[in-house]
Amino acid sequence: MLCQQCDAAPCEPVCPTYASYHNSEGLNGQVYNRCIGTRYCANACPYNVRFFNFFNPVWDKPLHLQLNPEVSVRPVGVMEKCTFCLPRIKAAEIQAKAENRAVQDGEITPACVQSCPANAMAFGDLNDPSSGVARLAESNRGTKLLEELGTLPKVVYLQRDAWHDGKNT
Amino acid sequence: MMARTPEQINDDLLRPVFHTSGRFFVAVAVLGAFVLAAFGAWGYQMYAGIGVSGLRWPVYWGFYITNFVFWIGLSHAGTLISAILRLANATWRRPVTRCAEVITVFALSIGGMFPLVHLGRPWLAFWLIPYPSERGIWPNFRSPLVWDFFAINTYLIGSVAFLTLPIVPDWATVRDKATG
Repeated sequence: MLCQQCDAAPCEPVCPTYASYHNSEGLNGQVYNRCIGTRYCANACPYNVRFFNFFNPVWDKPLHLQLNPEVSVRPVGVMEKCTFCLPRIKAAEIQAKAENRAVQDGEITPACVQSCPANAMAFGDLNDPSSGVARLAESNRGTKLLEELGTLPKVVYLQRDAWHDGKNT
Repeated sequence: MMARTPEQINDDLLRPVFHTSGRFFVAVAVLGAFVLAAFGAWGYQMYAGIGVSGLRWPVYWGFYITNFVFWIGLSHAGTLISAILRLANATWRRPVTRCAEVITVFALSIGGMFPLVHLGRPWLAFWLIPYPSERGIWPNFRSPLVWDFFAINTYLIGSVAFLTLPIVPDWATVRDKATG
């Protein structure tokens, strides 16, 4: 499971150093440099989607060449999580700003969305009602995990409905 | 048995202060070896990662937090005993309260070490202290862990004062006896 990017995220208020914080776009950011490894956020997360570097990460040669140069290597003792590929989001925003235009729908694809062969995932701006992802989220097939906890998750899972099952009730 | 004068009682009580036996050094050496081994283990844990303590996803808090709570509980017992005896005005209380206060301070000092050992990056633990950094970042005052840190420090300062103030007359007795 990936981080549900909660609007009322239980991981954020418990972090003593603001390593786990809410950014202006509504993402649950994780500042690796600021993390001192209390692991409080992971205990607070009801989805268990935070991952701690319990051991010093090592890459035997030549595996170190597979490291993405655009993503910082997280050291031992630091919490990590799904960032919705923040470097890709920032790259698209910088590109759009350089071309003096707004970011278009579908311009940003996180690695999971890009690599899914079945096109099972969609990513976009939920605040923009005309975006593809906002229209999908509004459908009555949408469910949010553990919504009753009041975490206001932003990830929406689409169920099969009767129409898709061919029952057409 | 003859009744002892206050002078003789003082001499008896202060004997371990003025005469150090060989057994004392043996005890210090043995216990000091444990402390050195603990520092070595802590260094290894910092180098290799907190995973050497056996923690894995999805269990993030374990032995160290358990030990922390255990020792804080012990220190609360010390405070409770000394405070209750003081409030009840028990005249026989003094040796007991002294023991209880010593238990409080030392159990708290031991307990306070464990959150530090528990941290993934303990060398950055000073970020819990609210100091004006050049980046303008303060601790997150919404976090219960920050208040935990403040509470332990307040409790430690209070119990050290509680231990130190009644011990001042005893230090005066030691001063009167000291020759060196």
